[in-house]
Amino acid sequence: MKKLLIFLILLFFLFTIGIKFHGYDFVHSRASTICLSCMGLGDE
Amino acid sequence: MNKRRFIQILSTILHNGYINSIFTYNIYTGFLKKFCAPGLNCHSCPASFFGCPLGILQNFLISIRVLSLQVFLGALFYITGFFFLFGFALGRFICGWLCPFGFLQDLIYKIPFFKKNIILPFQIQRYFKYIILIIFIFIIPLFVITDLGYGILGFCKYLCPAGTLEGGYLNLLLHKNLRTLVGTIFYLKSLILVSIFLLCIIDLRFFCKNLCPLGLIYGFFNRFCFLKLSFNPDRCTSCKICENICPSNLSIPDQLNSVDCFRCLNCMQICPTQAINLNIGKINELSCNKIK
Repeated sequence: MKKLLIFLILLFFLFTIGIKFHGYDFVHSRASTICLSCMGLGDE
Repeated sequence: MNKRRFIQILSTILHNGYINSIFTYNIYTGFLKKFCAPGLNCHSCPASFFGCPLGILQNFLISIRVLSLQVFLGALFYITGFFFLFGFALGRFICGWLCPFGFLQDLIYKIPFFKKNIILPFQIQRYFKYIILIIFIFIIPLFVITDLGYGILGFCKYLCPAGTLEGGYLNLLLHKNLRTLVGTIFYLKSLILVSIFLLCIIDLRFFCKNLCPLGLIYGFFNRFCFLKLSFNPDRCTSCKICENICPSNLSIPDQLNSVDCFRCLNCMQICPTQAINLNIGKINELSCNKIK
């Protein structure tokens, strides 16, 4: 129970700050772009 | 079909269910891309719904020098949140049951061919993933800087077989104009992909066991996460059938919750006396650590 509580508090803390500072926009912008590096294309 | 296979198929569909890309030729850019999926699944894949946690982590590290403080803090806490969420909740259960690339390796292993557990002297193959994590996930993205001030996506660019297959080949099929960009790095990555597939035909989950840095990160949580394996010494008859079936060649019960266990649960299923059990969310009183 104590372990679960620590886990939930930790997650709440991380996601609250992450969402407050729009961390999801960073993820969205990077994940929504075709990444030439991931594909192994582009500059050598 | 067994339960594990069913969950793997379901997870693969959830990771890569955007079939509209066949008609639009574009990757999914909607609401779900604000989240990371647990498995190794390239977000440049035309069918991918979510971000790849490893790709997003590297994207964060390559941009550290150019991010404003607000974006830096937001991305740092948000991305860390996903790793803690997946790690503490499931650990490497993700590798065994949810990762689409792991599922692909399971399917590849079914190809009838020479089978062998590849073990190098001193089991050095187990340390490859540590080297990849440190060098390709952290050092190259952080310290190899381009003229624009960004780092380089070390793992994605030079190694990631999921990126080559899902991002590379599928996008090349859809976008003819991208084919002009194929060069040395793409051929190198293709060679790595083919090599990994060949090794996975011979040795079950060769990539997961020895090379995957995402699996290693989740593996660090194996001892602390909610989903843990426990061992009951009173029931054990020391038949060693569990050790013989373990694809990671782990010593059971000593390494039952080690970094290298990717939670196939073969040991649990094959044990004739049910000496190995899966504990969900409760403190493991019979864990191997306490027995020792």
